[in-house]
Amino acid sequence: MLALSDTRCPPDETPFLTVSVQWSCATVVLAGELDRECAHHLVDALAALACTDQPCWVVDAAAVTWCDAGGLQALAAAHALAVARGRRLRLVHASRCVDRLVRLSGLDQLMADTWA
Amino acid sequence: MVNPSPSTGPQPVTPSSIAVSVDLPQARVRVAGELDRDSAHHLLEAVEILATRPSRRWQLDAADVTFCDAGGLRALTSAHEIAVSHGRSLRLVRRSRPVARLVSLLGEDEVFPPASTSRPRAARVLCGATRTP
Repeated sequence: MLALSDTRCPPDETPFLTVSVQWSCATVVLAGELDRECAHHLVDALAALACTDQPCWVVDAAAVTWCDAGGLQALAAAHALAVARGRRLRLVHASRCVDRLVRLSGLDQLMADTWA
Repeated sequence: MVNPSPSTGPQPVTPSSIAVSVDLPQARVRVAGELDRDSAHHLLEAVEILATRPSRRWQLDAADVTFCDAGGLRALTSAHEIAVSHGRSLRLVRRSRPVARLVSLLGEDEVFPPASTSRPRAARVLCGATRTP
């Protein structure tokens, strides 16, 4: 497991966002604040998964406590990256803030359509 | 108060607030409330999200904008610039009276210039924004 944290945070404070990559199950686990400052780490992690031959990527957003437009953009970019690489992306355990934005923007439909 | 979260459908908007919603399947951004210099970045962040979609034609719905000043007008121009920079087009599909008035004063082609002349015209808009319309 690889854990990426935002390095701008002082060491004595909780990182804004923690991104953990579980290679065996092609899962990216997010924890913390998915905002415009940190959200690019999600796309970076998925770009790393693109180097594997896993056909399905999973993003676990259960522990995301905050999501803004930058976070939504990263999730949409993650979906676009998966489509471009011929993979499938599944968003699981979306916390309330993530679930709300994904539903309101229709990103949930787009993700579901690629599964159809 | 500024509400950066996207919302669906018409919602009551408190004074000095903006609501921006993104419809990714339709490649459409809807803005409601007060579009000014302070709130403009919310619109631009929403428009940036559309770049993750393959749709070539983006739509902007400004039917529920209750206030628009020079900063808001600049945001509309910047939104168009974002679309052009990604090789897409942005069309203002609905507009409220405040938006329609400013756009007509400046000229539709100045705010949403045709693709072939977008850059020089957009530069003129940015210069013109400092003048009183």
